[in-house]
Amino acid sequence: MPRNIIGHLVLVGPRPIAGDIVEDARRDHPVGGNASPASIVTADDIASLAPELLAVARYLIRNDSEARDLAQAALEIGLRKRDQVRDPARLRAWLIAIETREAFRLRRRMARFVAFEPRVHELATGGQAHERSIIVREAIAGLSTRVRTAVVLHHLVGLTVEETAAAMSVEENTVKSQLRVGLSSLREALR
Amino acid sequence: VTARRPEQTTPIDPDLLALLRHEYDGAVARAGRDLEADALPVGGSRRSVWPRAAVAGAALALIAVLAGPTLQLASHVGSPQGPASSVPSVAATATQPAMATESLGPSQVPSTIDGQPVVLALDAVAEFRTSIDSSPVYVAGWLLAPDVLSCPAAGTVLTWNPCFAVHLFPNGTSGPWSLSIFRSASSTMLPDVGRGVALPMVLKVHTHDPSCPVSESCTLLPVLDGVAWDGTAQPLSAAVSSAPPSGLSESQAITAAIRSAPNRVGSTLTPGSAEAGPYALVGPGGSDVAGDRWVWAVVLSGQFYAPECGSATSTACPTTLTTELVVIDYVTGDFLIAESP
Repeated sequence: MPRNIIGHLVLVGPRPIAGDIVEDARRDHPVGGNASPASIVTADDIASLAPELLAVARYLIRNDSEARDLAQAALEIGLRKRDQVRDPARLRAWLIAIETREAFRLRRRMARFVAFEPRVHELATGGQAHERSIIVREAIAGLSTRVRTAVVLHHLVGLTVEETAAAMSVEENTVKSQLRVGLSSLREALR
Repeated sequence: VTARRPEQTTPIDPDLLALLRHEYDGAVARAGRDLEADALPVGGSRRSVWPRAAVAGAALALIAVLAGPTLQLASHVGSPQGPASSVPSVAATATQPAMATESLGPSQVPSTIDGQPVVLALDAVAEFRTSIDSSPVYVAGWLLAPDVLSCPAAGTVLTWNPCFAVHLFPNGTSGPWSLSIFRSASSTMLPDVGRGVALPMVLKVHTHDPSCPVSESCTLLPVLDGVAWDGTAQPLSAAVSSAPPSGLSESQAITAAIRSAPNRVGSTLTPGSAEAGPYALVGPGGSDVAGDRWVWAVVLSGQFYAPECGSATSTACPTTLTTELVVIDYVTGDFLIAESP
């Protein structure tokens, strides 16, 4: 069951829509609001990163409902704390770090329950390129959680090793080791 | 105390990096599309600025609250019974609620059911292709009278054979394209549709059916849950376009048909009848000609090689056929298809 951030929508809608949070934030906290007047990151800036947050969430958590919740949670936190961002150029890395930490929290919470994580097998319907894409996706999905996170944040999203380490709350050397293991596994899987 | 030497970042070959980046770009694009689809407004057309979807969502909530039990009646298959739940009968058309609709050719279908957007059959393929779980999808299209299909290779898994699937047409006519919706474990009965009529309907389907064997490529194929909504059956003639303003006359059509008749033996052919109309009404079934394309269907008498003879010059082939239906384009006279009884 998805987490109901916007209860009235969940009564009738498919899943809470991340964009609603942005709208709610605008309504509840119009210009200024929680954010200090010095805040230079707007709700639109944050909303524009929603697709990327959802994409990353899907790599971190393979269950789509949970991935959507995770992206939504990251957006919500981002909106609430956006006045902490002093350099808009770092907004993307900042939000993805929030999402990564939330993902680990979610995983710890969910570890108490028995999880059925069905693997998604895709049908190659778009020719060779599509088939290749599926193979890459499956190879990434096959990595262990922490290794996958490091590979996704560094090699796919493009965060630096330092940013990746900060997002994962580990040392840079740990990230480098995980990247080495991850790349080796990917090369093997894609051979 | 010796400082720990920083580990080197593993060098990554450019091809692998490009592959990963490409994969990521695709994932972000897919996520963007999914978010946009989630933000479908009440009216049905997709909005480009998805963060503003709260307005549509609130309107949707309001409609749902006001419609109350009526909405439940119309969307009775939306109850959370799991993907393989069966619904024994057709939805009650008499209880269609007043709700926002979108156009499906000459008919209107609800744009949302159970708070979920209704996807037109043409758009549904993309929806299925990007689906990642068995969440319900509502697909709108037209149900026609079942066509005779040639099913030489039934395969081992009959539930995933298109021959046994429900075929939903996008525009109220037969034609080159229909959406196959597989039955899996569903025992849902669909209404009988007579020849010459089309029934607009919305089917509740899902992908990632648990009965799809791991070894089979059926994960993304749509599986029927039930009928979510059905409209009023319409004659095919009402569902297709009107005649193009300029077309061949009957005599011109007969001349063109005689000229292009395939498999003929000798040159003497006699016209039987000639009929103009949408292909769905006057052409033979099972072809890849669009149902709403206007054509001339001309019956010719004479001597014809059987189609299975292949080359018409074959002397070993019996020439027992005496009539042939030749279908040509209504405007240009281009040959489209011929069929012998």
